[in-house]
Amino acid sequence: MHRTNIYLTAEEEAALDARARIEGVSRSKVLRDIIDGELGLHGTNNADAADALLLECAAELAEHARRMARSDPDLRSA
Amino acid sequence: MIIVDDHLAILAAAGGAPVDGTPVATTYAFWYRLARVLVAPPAQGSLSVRMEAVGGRERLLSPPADRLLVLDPRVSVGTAALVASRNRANLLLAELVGAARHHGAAVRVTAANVGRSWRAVMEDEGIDFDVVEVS
Repeated sequence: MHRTNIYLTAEEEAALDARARIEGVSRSKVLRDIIDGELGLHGTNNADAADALLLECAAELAEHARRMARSDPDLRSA
Repeated sequence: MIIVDDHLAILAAAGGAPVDGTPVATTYAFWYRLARVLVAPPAQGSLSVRMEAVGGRERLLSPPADRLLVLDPRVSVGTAALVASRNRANLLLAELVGAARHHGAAVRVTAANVGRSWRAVMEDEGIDFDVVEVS
């Protein structure tokens, strides 16, 4: 890990501290979790295999999503 | 930035986006459609087992940001609502067009996802819109 200094507003600092108290972790841990979640950095144990499977099955998954959406006026691509 | 449908979003998340050199994003509504499939995968059975084995579900639910961004609908909801009121668009289309207008982005979708009114709405709203062929 690398040490990084950032500027926070008083409101941001208070919100981070509140969440850290609720979760029982440090402010740094809260920030790292937010960054990881926002940037999709949680990863998988087998990213290459996951990518290969998704590429292989993309059409099938998309077709299934379309079928499920047909009965939903807000989500169908009609 | 290019905003894509759920089919192209899967490809982008897996590193196979059919568009090069520009950030790829999808809307919350398209991503939600995918999430529904991931929690209730196709009935063939083997796919859900394979997805579970390699972490495919997590890969799509938390896509790497350097491959696929999921746009926050809050920043473009006002524009989306205007689009809906002008064009009788549903949530899927209104969010897509609203996000494209808000971010100044192009829209690329697969042929199966082009609704009857989509081309006309995209043209009326001044969106760079095209259909992408995928193999």
